[in-house]
Amino acid sequence: MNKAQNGLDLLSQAYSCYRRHKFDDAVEICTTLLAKNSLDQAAFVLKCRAANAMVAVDRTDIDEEVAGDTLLDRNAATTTARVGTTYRRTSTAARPVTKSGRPVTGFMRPGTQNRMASGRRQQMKTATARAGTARPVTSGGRVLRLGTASLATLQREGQIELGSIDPHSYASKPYGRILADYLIDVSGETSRATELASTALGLKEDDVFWCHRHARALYNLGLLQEAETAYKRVLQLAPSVSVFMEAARIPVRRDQPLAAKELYDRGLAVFPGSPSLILGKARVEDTLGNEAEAEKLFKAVIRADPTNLEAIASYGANAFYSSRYELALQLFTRLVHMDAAVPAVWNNLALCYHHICQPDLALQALQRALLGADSDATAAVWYNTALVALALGEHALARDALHCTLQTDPAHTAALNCLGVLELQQGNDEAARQAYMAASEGDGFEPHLNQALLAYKTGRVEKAFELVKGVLEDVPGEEQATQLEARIKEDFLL
Amino acid sequence: MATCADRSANQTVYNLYVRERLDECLSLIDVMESAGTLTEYAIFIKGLIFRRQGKIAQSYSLFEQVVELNPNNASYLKQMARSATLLGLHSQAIQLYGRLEELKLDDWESWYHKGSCLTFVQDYDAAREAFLRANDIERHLPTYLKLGKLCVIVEDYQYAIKVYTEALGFAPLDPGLLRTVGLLKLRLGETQEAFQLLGRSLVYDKRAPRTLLAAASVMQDSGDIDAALAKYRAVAAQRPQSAQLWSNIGLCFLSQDQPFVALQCLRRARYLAPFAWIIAYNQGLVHVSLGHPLAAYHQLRAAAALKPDYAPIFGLMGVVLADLGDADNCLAAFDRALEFDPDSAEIRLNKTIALFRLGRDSAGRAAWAGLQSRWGGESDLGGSPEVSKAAKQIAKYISINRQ
Repeated sequence: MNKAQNGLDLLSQAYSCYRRHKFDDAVEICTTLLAKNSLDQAAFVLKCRAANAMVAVDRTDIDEEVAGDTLLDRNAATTTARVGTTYRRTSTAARPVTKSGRPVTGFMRPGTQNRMASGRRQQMKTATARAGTARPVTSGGRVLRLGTASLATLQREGQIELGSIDPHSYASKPYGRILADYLIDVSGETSRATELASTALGLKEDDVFWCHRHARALYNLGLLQEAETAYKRVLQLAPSVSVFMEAARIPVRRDQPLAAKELYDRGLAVFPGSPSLILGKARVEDTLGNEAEAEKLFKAVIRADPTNLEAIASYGANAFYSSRYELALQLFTRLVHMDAAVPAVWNNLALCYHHICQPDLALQALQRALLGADSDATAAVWYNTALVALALGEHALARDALHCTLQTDPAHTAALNCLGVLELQQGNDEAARQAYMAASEGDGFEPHLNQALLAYKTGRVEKAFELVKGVLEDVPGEEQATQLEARIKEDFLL
Repeated sequence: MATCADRSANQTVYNLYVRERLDECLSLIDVMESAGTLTEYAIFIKGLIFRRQGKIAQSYSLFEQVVELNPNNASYLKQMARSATLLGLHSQAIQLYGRLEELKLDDWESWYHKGSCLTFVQDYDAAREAFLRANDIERHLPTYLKLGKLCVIVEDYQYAIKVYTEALGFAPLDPGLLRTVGLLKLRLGETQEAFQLLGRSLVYDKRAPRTLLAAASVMQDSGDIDAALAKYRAVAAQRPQSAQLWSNIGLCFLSQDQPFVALQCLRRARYLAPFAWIIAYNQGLVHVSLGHPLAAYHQLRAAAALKPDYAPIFGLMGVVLADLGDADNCLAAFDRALEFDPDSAEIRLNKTIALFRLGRDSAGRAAWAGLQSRWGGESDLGGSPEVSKAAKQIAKYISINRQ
């Protein structure tokens, strides 16, 4: 590309690229310009803007907490919070959850991928089993990852020499703002951004933009206390929905759901009916397990914004788990019509069909789910296929499906347990025992209980007693286990 | 050879053991062990205590020790055999009981336990002999119960009834026994007697869930739905995870014309017991009454896969397939049903109706003629009022069409 080709000078070319959303090209041209003249401010500003635009992210969506941050968290006030005031629920949820501890809706909500699970076994799993990710990522989460990724490409092409730029001289200039965004979003030099922002605030105290960027930078640095004060000031100066959403990340990250709810409520008082704010509140309620309240809010979101995928998916999941399968079916079908049908949605649809006794349609939906599924989802889909087949009395198909589940996820506890039950049904006691043994490596008490029942049936009373004691430690008062224990104790006395 | 000191130590151990001061007893034995004055008897008692605490493997090795010290002591051998039984080492235990026999120890307990071991290794005749020997020596309720259970396993119901009747003479007030006999009678179709036995059992144990469930199901069969539901409520408080309970409740609601509630109950029952064919069959029944032939067909197919020789499943499947308009499979289902139960007027009548509904009038007439010649007259087809009502309707339909 040169001047003669388009009849434009390079800067205009770059600007034209920028306006046509060809950010890569714009950055490239600006890099050439800056190589020629490193003090070319126009090229510098354009490059910053293009780079910012390249990594533009929805601010309301980045509240991911990474394992490293959780481990090094110094903001926690107490380790044993009262029930209903914390996200870390100790009770075992009745619903199936994602590996990060959320009910499966088919919508991966931000901020839920890395939350540490509360279960004893799950914690161990994060520490040992997943060898590839054993070292926790520290600080910054997705923000930093985005930064480093683009930083690498930019540096290869000739990065802006930030060492040569004195942030203080930019504080008073208008394009200092663009540089601030560049520092926060692209290069990940958050401390520098903080410096820049505080210098600018020194010059003009009540500047909304600088207040906001200051708060954002502080939050990214993990200084939650300071960030909170800064956000408060922004909200005083110029409240807006996005700032409320950003500010609410602080109590969420601090595990203070009630404070988060309060903040959303304050936001809703200023911006009544804002779908983002209602959705934020609904997420909090849902994670706390207040299903009825969450459902009301999800409905309100759908009323305000009928195309909100997350609200539809979550409302659908809630309906499903409260046994209103027809309603759930409608909602998931709507997602399919909106072209948002990820495998999980087809999977949920299939379960709805299964529960309203239309197994043929359920199997079709499961087939669709298999088409785009990744390995985790594949295992779930095959497992559900096995359930549908069992309900149809097709035991051979169920067994095959379970084997497929185990092929994609060899440690699928439920599948192993189910396989054990099937083998027992066929009279293969030994195969059943082996399946239960494999299943009891994972979560849940069922494999242990099944093993105990099998051991008692075959006369190995001691083994049964040991196992049933373990089950009753995990789940005190489990009906079958209590009965079995009483019978064994009678045997011992005789 | 026991010295005087040993004897007094043994006495103390014995005293502590029979007074159920097990912890003190164990610590005394430990003291004896560290002082080097451990006696055979103390090891034996330690084994007994361990077994009561559920440490069977340890108790077994302790008994092994004492048997080594004193191979001809019958009570040591007996306890070792008992521990082996609890560990699941059935054939080993049987050998030990054989040695006891050589020692001429004739007590009911060893014969009883030998019988249980033989039941586990499926040597049923020998097991029966062992139980009978136990009863010859001394009569005990557990022996009767095991013997009865054994007879049920080998499907010798008449003998089981005989055993239980004898047991009832021996222990007429035991609620568990009354319930067991009641359930057996229920299974053999002697409903009236069964109900009486269950009622007697309930007199002595008012809240026993299994007895209540059985009694309520008899009430339900005789049409007393409200009373049955009241009993089921009492059961549900104690055993909320019982699949039979929810299945029965579901059918109660069906007979009270609340099919949707019935469906919910049955769904729960099915979730709790996915392999119970009768629940799938009941689900099919509810779907038929709701007019969902396809859903009913799926449930009935599941039931048929689990229980391939029960005529009513195929009979109902035939009705459903007629609703769905699948003539060939419909007739195949009826034929299968009649294979298992050729004398059922209901299935034959349904087949006739299905033939007419599928438009095969001539075949329907032939089937109707066959029915009439088989039972000789439309009115007393099977005895059930619904069947004779349907028969009358068909007769009317045929006579109208002929004109």
